[in-house]
Amino acid sequence: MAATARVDDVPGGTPAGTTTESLASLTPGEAGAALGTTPSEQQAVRDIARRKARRTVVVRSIQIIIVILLILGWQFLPGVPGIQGPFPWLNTFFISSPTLVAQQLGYLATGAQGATQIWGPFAQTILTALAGTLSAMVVGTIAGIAVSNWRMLADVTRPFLVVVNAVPKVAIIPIIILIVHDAVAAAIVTSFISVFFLAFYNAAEGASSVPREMIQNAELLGAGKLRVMLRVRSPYAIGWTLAALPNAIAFGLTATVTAEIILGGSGLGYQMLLALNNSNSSLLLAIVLIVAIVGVALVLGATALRRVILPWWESSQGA
Amino acid sequence: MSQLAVAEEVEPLFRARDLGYSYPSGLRAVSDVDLDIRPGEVVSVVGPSGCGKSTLLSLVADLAQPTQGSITWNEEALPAAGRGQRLSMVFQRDTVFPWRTVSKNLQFGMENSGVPRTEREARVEELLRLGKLEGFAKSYPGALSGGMRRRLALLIGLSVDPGVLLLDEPFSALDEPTRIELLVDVLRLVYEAKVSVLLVTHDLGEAVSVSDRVIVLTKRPGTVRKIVPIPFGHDRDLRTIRETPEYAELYSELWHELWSEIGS
Repeated sequence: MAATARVDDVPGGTPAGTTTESLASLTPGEAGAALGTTPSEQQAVRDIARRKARRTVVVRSIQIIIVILLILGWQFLPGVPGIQGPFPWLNTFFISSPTLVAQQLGYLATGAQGATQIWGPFAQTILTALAGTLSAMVVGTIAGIAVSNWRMLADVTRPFLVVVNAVPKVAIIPIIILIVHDAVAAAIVTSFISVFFLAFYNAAEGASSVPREMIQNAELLGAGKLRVMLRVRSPYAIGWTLAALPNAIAFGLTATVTAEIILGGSGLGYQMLLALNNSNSSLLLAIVLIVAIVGVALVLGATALRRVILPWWESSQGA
Repeated sequence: MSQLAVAEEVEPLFRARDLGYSYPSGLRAVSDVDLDIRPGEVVSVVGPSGCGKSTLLSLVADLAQPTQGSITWNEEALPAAGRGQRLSMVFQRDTVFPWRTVSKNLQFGMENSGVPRTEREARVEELLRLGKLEGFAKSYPGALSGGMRRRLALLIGLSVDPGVLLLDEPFSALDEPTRIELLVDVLRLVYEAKVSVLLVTHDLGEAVSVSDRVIVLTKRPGTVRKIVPIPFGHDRDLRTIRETPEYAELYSELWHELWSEIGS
């Protein structure tokens, strides 16, 4: 067709090497090389990279120095004569010391010196938090999508959800224990309730914030009501919910440890309660440190999981 | 030079007669519009801002029901391929599914009409080649540039073999070079697919460049003020027509119509 050939003649239509399109297909390094064609430009690109690297080194160094100063202060300030006058809490009895905490961590890991081996409670807390969080994510997401699809259901349930969501979850832990009678189950239920609303609101918000045009387009492309819900609203809502997974897991862990402290009987929270009852600040801080590590590990794990389940999410957020 | 791309005697794909739309508040957006589109014809709608251009598209797309008049489709003039639909639409806003790969996005419409997988994949390959997106089948839309995403949206529209492709200011968010490049691609794609196009745009240059007819609407409630035939045919060259006196003449005719409408 003559028309086709003529239309193709326009410069923009030919695969010129410097259009935005072809740059987008290159890796950042390649794009930089393509842009910086002259030696001076390449030099400029290299200078920017070097300046960035140097800045990172400076930032990290300052962070390491702060950590070292904190640990040194923690270790030695309580030993400074007269310091407990103005700062009575700078006392090893209250804040322990890095060496004592490290010693307790060793005991906890090995079960030496009559300490409880920490691995059991450690696994217990992680599993409880995961069970509560993940089940809440699944149920909350489904409920959120359902509510956003049926206006009637949304209207009927709204005031109840607002009330239940406003009640501090910690306040209902005693009621939960009365109902389920078991500390582990009660901790799971507590973290479930805490995370459920996060998942629910995210899913409902996500499902109802699908751009109108996206749904109209799906309908014009022949999708019926059910298909729109399953293939358009649901992926959108699941995207929103999973985006909140790192936050959710942090919520779940907080709820779990709080429940364990209140209920006693299992997990890291119960170990903290025991340490508190013995006024053993070294043990208490050692367990807090473990809880912190568990928290960071779970959040990092959730972020990695999100990347696996939602390969499209990060790139669509950047766009 | 002066030629009609589609002969006037050809039966139109659809006929809209006395088309009108009023909002529930009583505000009339569109009123008494007559509109025919023949197979393979590219028709643009221009008009003052808020004159109901997009509403008119919604009425044609059946996204809103006319409160006056009606649209009659000529089913026999639709693509005979069987899986063809009356129409598809490229919205101003990005409607590409971010959770589906480019290939899966292109398959969505065909999945809905039950096209078998192997056939779908063959069609996707063809579409990617048409749209110069080879090598991006497995990419997520988030990894594409703005221009590429628009091209993907266009290919999705073409994937269902529509009789009419409705374009609602699809390129207004793009920079000028990307827009021209895309227009060239669009023309090539629609001419090759022999699909009719109804384009809503505020860009008179775009309207003259790509259309066989330009419909100028009045202020709200929008009705047809004038129909300007664009006699460049389908072997036009987008680069050179912009430099011809005919282009300048048509452009200023539309400019005059539009500004006397706004000023009236």
